[in-house]
Formats: sequence, C-alpha cells, structure tokens
Amino acid sequence: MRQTRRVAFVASATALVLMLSAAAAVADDSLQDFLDDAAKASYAGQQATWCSFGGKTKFSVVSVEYAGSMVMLESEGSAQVLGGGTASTHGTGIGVALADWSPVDLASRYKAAEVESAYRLGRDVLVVTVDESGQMRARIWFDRDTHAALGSEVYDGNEDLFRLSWMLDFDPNPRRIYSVLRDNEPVYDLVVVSDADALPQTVGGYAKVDTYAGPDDSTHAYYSDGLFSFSIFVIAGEGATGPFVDAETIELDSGSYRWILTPADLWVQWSGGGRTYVLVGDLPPDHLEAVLGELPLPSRGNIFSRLWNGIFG
Amino acid sequence: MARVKASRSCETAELVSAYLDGQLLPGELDTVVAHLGECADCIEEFHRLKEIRAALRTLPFLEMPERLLPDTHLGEQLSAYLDGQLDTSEHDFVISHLDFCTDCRLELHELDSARTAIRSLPGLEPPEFLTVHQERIKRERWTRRRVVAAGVGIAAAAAFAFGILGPTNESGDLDITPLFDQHQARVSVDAGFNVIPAFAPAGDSP
Repeated sequence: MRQTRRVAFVASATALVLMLSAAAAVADDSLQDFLDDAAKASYAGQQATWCSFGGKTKFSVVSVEYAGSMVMLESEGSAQVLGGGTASTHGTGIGVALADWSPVDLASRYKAAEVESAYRLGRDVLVVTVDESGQMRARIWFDRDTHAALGSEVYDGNEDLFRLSWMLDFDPNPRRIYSVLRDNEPVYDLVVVSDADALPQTVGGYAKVDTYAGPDDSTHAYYSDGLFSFSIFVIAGEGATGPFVDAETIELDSGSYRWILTPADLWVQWSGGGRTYVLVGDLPPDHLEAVLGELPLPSRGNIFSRLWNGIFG
Repeated sequence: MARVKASRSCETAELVSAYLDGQLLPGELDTVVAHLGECADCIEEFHRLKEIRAALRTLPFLEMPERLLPDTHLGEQLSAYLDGQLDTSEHDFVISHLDFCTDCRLELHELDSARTAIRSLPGLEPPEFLTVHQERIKRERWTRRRVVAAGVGIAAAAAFAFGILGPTNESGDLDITPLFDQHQARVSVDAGFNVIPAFAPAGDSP
C-alpha cells in the first residue's frame, strides 16, 4: 500500500514538472507571436500614457485608431498618421517615408514568464508578464478576441514602474482612420539607407538594425531589441541646441547628458569628438544607462572652456 | 423568364413560353403559330402565361439592400480608395460600406499590408549611364572641394582659436521635429509597434 502511494506521488510530481515545463515553453515561444499579432490588430479608443524619469512625470491622453499596420493619433486638433515606414501630420501635406528597413527579432533575454487570464474594459484578456534575466520588465494586457494590446506597464531595473499605457475605452472597429488615410496624401521626403558606420553594431544588448541619412546631413542609426527601441542622430558639431539648451542634466558614470521626458519617449543629448548625439526612444532607464556607456562619450570640454565654466558658471 | 411547360400532352407547348419571351429560333415561329391555331390547351396556356407576365410587370420595383446582394463587396474600389482615386460619392459609398462589412475591412488591411511589403522590396540598381554621370559629378565636386578647402582651413583655424579662448557655443537652432518623425516612421514597422511604445502626439514632443 505504502509503495503504491509512493509511485502515485512520483507520477504526480513528474506530471506536474512536465506541465510546468510545457507551460513555460509555450509562454517563451508565444511572446513574439503576441507582439506580432498585436501589431496587426485594428481598434480605436482613448489611450492614456504616463512616464516617470529623473523625478519628473509626464502624462497624456491621445485618441488612437489602429488599422492593420497603420495608426492615427489625435490630440488637441493635431492628427499624426504613422505606419508602413511613414510618418506624417494630417493636414500639413508633408511626411517622411523610409525607403527600406530590416526585420527585428525579439532578444533572447526576454521571456514570457507568466500568462494569466483577466477581464479588462469588459473584455477577456491575457496578461503576459515579461521577464528579463529573472526580473520583471513588463506586463502587457492582450485582448483575446482582437489581439490588441489594451495596456502595458514597463519597469526599470529596480522593478519600479517606468511607463504605463492604457486604453481608456475600446472599440474593435476603427472608423475615422480610413477617411484620414484617404485624405492624407502628403508629399513624402524619402529617407534613404546610409552606409555610414559611426556607431557600434550592438550597445547594451540592442542591435543596430538600420542606418539612414538623417535630416540636415545628420546620420540616423536605429537600434532595437524587439521589445524596446531607440534612434540616435549624429549631427556634425558640438553643443546643446534646440530644446536641449534648457534641458535637465543627468550625471552618469559615462559623463554628463541633457535629457527631456515625454509621455512616450526619453530624449537624451550629448556632444563629443566634434559631434552632437541625440537619442530618442522608449527604452527603460537602466537600459539607457547601459547603452550610453557603450556609445561615444560626452566630451568634458577643453581646459579653457572648463576654466571658463568654472569661473563664470 | 423561365420557360413554363404549357401542356403535358403537347411537345410544341414548351415553345409557347419561348414565344412570349421572344426566344424562338428561326423556323420555330411558324410551328408555334400553326400549333396555337389547333390546340385548345396551348391557347389556354398561352393566355395564362400572358396574364402572369402582365401581373409581374405591375409589381412595384424594390431595391434590395446592398448588404443582402451577392458579391457586392468593394473589390477594386478598395485599391482606388487607398490610392485616393475615388470621387466624393464613391468615397462616401466606400466609407459607409466599410462601416458594416468586415470582409472589406479585412481586405483593406491586407491590401495595405501588401503595399507596405512592396515598399520594403530592395530598390533597383541605377542604370550604368547614370553611374557614369554620378562619377563625373563626384569628380567635379572634388575639384571644387579642394579649392574651397583652403578657405575652410583658414576658417577652421579661426574657429579653433575661438574654441580655445571661449566656452562651447550653444545655439537654439536644432529642430527635432524631423528627427521625431523619422524615428516614429522607423518604429512603425516593428512588431512591438502598438504594444510597448505609447505614442505622444506631435505637440508633446520636446
């Protein structure tokens, strides 16, 4: 009798281990599928976004309509149409269109650690918890029916909330984007691929996916790990310009950087080696620090300018 | 109109219906006329069919709702719609149709995806004569650059001297809107496009 119980216990334990292993494997394999399916979903609603960095927070509510690969964003009378490698502001008649781009694979460091069923906005959803090296990096709420991402939370290296994005309402049938797509026929500035090789191929776990000719003779390098992404624009000459003149400054091990926060992105600017670098992306702060440490460092200025700054501030 | 078998006993009777429909073949008309002169059943059937046709003509004409008609999807109009080639009435029709037709919405998305895929195809190599022309332009530019280089060198020396004597010059002339647009255009073709990135409208860019 005792031996029978022991056999039953071992069988149950084995079955449990097998089930858990299978569940984990399914979760890992399906993260890319979740993202791919969500990218093709069509829906509309109000999207609220909140982001926090360096003691500052930003919040916005934007009307969004996703239709396949296109998305329209509306706020305060302004409408942006993005998708298919294009970006344009409705009514301006001008936009940019990429001539080419490369596919991006999801980095192996991300795992869908947990997939749970839940109920949001009156809809059945799957909550996918994304782990990175054993730490929670993100949680994403996928609508079971349309595959749309109803919400997402992104965490920093301390598992503190960095950015939150939520649909406040949800309509699976976008309506206005079709007419806007029809009416919005801008003249596109074609962005061509560049063979410039000024920046490393990989930084902080992000791969350089494409390099383009940027605006005003700059070079645009695009990095991604399949989940987060950022662009770096390399501009000739040194010095903070535009909105960065009055921007906040952050001191990292790699040097001093100016930064600006928006609800969706972080902007970082620095200069060194006769060039100015402008980074914009949605990567979390700990990733950003790792990335900046592997990019060209900020110059500390020549001895006279440091002396000048030391005396006159 | 469908042919009605007029009489079970007459082989010619079926031609009566065809006669009313104007579908007789050459030579059949004489046969029908001759038959009607001698067959009471067919004459009766002939009159009955005429009455049915007259009654049908008096019925009011009803338009069937578009959604109930077979094969009334937008088809090629979808492509014209994406290309912005519809006039106002056609556009309104397409928009109203898309409101209720899931199939057409799906097809519109697929068409749009196909256009995106086509856009991603590698570009063609320029023809040889253009390459030669570009080489000539490059040589001319190089010559000009050498002439300009001397002047630039002097200017650079002056700028270097200024750089040593003063702090880094900071100006406010960088417009980051084009940078933002280009970044968003690139993000738009990634799988995580509408998942993690939470877009900010143009007004929210710094």
